[in-house]
Amino acid sequence: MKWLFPIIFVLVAIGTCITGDIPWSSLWQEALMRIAGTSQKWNALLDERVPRLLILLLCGASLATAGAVMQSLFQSPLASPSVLGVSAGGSLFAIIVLSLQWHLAYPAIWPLAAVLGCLLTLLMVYFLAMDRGQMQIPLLILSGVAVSTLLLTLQSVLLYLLRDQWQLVMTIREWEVGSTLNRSWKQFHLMAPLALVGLYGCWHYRRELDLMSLGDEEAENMGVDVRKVRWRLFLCIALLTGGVIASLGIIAFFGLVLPNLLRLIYGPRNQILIPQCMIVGSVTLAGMDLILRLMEIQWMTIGNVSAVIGGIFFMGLLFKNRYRFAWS
Amino acid sequence: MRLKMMNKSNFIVYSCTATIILGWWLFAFYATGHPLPPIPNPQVRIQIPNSTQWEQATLRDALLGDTVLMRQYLLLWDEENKLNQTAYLSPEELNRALQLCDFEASPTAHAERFFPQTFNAASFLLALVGKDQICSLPEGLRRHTDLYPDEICATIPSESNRHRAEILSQQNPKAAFVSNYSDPYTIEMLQQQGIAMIALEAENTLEAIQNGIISVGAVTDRMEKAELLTLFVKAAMLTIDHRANYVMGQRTGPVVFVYYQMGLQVPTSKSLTGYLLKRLKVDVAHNPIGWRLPMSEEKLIAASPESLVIITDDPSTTHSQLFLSPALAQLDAVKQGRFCYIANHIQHQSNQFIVLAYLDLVEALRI
Repeated sequence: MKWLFPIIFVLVAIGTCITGDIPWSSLWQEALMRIAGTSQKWNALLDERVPRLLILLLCGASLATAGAVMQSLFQSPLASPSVLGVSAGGSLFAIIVLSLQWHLAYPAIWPLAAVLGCLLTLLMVYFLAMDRGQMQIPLLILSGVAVSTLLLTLQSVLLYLLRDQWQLVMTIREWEVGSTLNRSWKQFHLMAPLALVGLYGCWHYRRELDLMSLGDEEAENMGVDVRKVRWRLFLCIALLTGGVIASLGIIAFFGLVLPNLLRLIYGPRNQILIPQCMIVGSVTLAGMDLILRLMEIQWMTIGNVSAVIGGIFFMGLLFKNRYRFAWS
Repeated sequence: MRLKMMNKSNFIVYSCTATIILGWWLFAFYATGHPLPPIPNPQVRIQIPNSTQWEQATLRDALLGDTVLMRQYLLLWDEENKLNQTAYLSPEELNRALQLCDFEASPTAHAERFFPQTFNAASFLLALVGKDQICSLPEGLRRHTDLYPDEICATIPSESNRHRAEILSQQNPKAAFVSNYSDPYTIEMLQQQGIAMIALEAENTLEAIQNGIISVGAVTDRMEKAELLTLFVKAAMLTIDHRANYVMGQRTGPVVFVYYQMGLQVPTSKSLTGYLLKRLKVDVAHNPIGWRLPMSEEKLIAASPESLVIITDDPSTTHSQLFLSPALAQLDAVKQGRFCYIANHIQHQSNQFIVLAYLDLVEALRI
């Protein structure tokens, strides 16, 4: 078990690097020439497969970690960026930028907008779910649904306004479904600083997260500055989710499924769970993309696959927890 | 004192984080870059013997029902095809078409009005009936002023009106042209108002387009003009076929046709472009559902095309975005200037403007 994920990681990395339309033999020779500085030619391995692999690793780690942190912060297995509408908020802001075409002149505006959208949504859901200073779990999910619905409606309004520009609408639709096609160093640079800062923040506060799961009062008694840590973790979630939205689009439910599965294996302690989410999340997303490529499935994106699997899992979780919600 | 210390540490944490992120982006996006390849000179083209140059605007006017222009083109193409000894309309078809041109030069007045619910129906109506006989036009159609000039569309009301049902009942159209993808509630509204509905095929084929023209002609009592338009479209396609055959014979390597919208896509067999490419005997990706399939840059490099045709409505933005990728800039087709842009919206005209879509593709093959 200890070596399982490192072995899978290596296999996925090798698989991603050798799978493609250009034969490996010529690609490798050209890559060596590029590294030696004797060629400046675009190389599919160095310029497409490697950045795509890095993006997938960072996105997988980001979504799984953001999901685990949200589930711990909100003390609900149903919390995740897509369930609470955080992805929808980031997506709406990113679509606004896309519609205005600001990203063409200033690429960094796109991830910034996505992060801002995620953060504002998260704060909105959080404050809506508070009742007399206490977080109410059923209220949290309801708030998430309400905010999500509002954001999706605003998105529909925007798309309705753009209905005559059907090519732009098509572009937005294609981007939304979470594709990994033609990812390059540009998308890597867009998301890498956000993901690295966000992942570091979550990893840094994993002990505090464990203490906060005992309740705010107990955590404060044990020296945790609850308000500061919660705010910083909110920022980290927004950075992680916004980074993924800017580089891949929407990968729904990935952040819901994986932390729940890993919690079954490694237990609820965030000190163990969060590093595991980073490792397993990255390998899983890269592995999913590799399978789609090996099976040459063109009609489905990685976002579609994640949404279908995650949707079924989400319904299972709701079914399992129905008595608890009814009681509360 | 403690609060002040905390504020200071918070400031350091947030400013360091912001500096890392912004510094990374600054370094990645503004410190590097490579020059864009120039847009190629369109003069470097395969020359077709015995061929006349057509003005797109004049051909468009003919396709919008100008019978005088139709007559000129039919005779011009007849000469061109006789010189090249290539297939054209049969003598009977040509005589019939020329007779119809003369007949249509003095059209009779009609009073009935018609409601086009689809782009294609609107396009057929614009070519066959008077402007005052068309109840409304789809809003998006007006954007393509190169195909549907303002002077024609401006006098016809827009379809996107909240009181459309009421306006329609006042206009009392004789018939509405719909398709299998029409909005079910609009169909229901038309049924309730007792407006006759004629369904037009939504297939991207020449046969479906010709059937559509004939159907609209039959309902609007403009059968002769509809017959003339179908013969004109057939004559134009046959003439372009000859040019296409010559150009394809001169080519030595593959040509790749791609759309660009935040990524590359290729037309499929279901799209109009795919249908026309099959007519040109160019391999097309098969997909019974969608009009496009995504294509990776790596696949494009592996295909190593002799020429690259990019289908977009915004060539300047596409050029600056597409060639940011060093992958495409290194293609031989790009280095040698053998790439060009053709209009996307024309490639979606499943109506008489199929002629312009086909002509654009063949002109692109000359590069």
